[in-house]
Amino acid sequence: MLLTDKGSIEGSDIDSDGSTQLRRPRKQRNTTLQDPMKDAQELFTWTPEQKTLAIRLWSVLGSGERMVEMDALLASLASFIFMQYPREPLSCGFVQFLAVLGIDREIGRLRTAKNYSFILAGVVYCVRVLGIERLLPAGGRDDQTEADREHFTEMREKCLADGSFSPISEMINLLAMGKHIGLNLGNSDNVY
Amino acid sequence: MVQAHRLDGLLKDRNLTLLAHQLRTLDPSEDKIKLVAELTERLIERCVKGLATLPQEIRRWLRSAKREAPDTRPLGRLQKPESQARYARYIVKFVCFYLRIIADEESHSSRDLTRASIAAGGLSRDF
Repeated sequence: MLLTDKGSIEGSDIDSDGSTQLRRPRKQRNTTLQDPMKDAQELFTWTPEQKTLAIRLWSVLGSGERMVEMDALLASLASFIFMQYPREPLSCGFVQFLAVLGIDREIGRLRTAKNYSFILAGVVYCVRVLGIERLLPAGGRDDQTEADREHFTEMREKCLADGSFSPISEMINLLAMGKHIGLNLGNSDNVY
Repeated sequence: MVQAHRLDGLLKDRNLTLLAHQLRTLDPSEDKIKLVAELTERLIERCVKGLATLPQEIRRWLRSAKREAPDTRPLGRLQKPESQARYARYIVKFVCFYLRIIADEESHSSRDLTRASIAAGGLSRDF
């Protein structure tokens, strides 16, 4: 059995002559190596449909079939937009991501309400344009009927409006809260 | 410092640096992530372009946060192209974030499969 000058153990418990020796207990390292994906894996919640569509997207990426890739991407994103959370907003993957998006990497903490609201407004804009493209695709505009437009109205009320128990309704709440904090506490010491 | 929202509680005891690291988009070793980032930006542009041919009334409803009333103004293309680019990057980060989770799971299962097949190979030699 060899012991290096750093204190780590090399070799086996059985020496070349066949005699067994006791292994010195391995020293604990001061720093533990953390799986970089561990927290993301534990934090993010999927519905079965979201997971299936994300796996599908991952599998078609790089196929070279651009339309198939774009359709899979839109279908995957739509599965996070057109959903209603079962219990409470924090159980929803998209909202969990919004928390991560609120991290300021440079200072290692969450952003101020002022800076975060600006990001949220951008996400809301994108969610709306993605949502409409899913419900009323621009490519099929000439063929869209009154029934398609009614379907949009129904889905908007169900998943895109305030109070709809959907990710975007949570974003709207957060934006309202950010505005409230900004108005009441000033800009310097508020944070999400 | 005011801890003003429950989102803060969601990240309690988490490694914020590692979590935020999963939002990165530019990593030369991740071909699929790079590709999906480009596709997402293109998709957002396609969606925004489509707004121009939508009926005005639909665009007003789309812009409204309220259940019962449409907005006074329709949703349209942003005035500054750089704002759209910045907004699109948030969605890019989202896609990158969840696809990295899928990729990580995939690599874990393929590693497990390799280990299992090595173990099975060892067993078959033993018998």
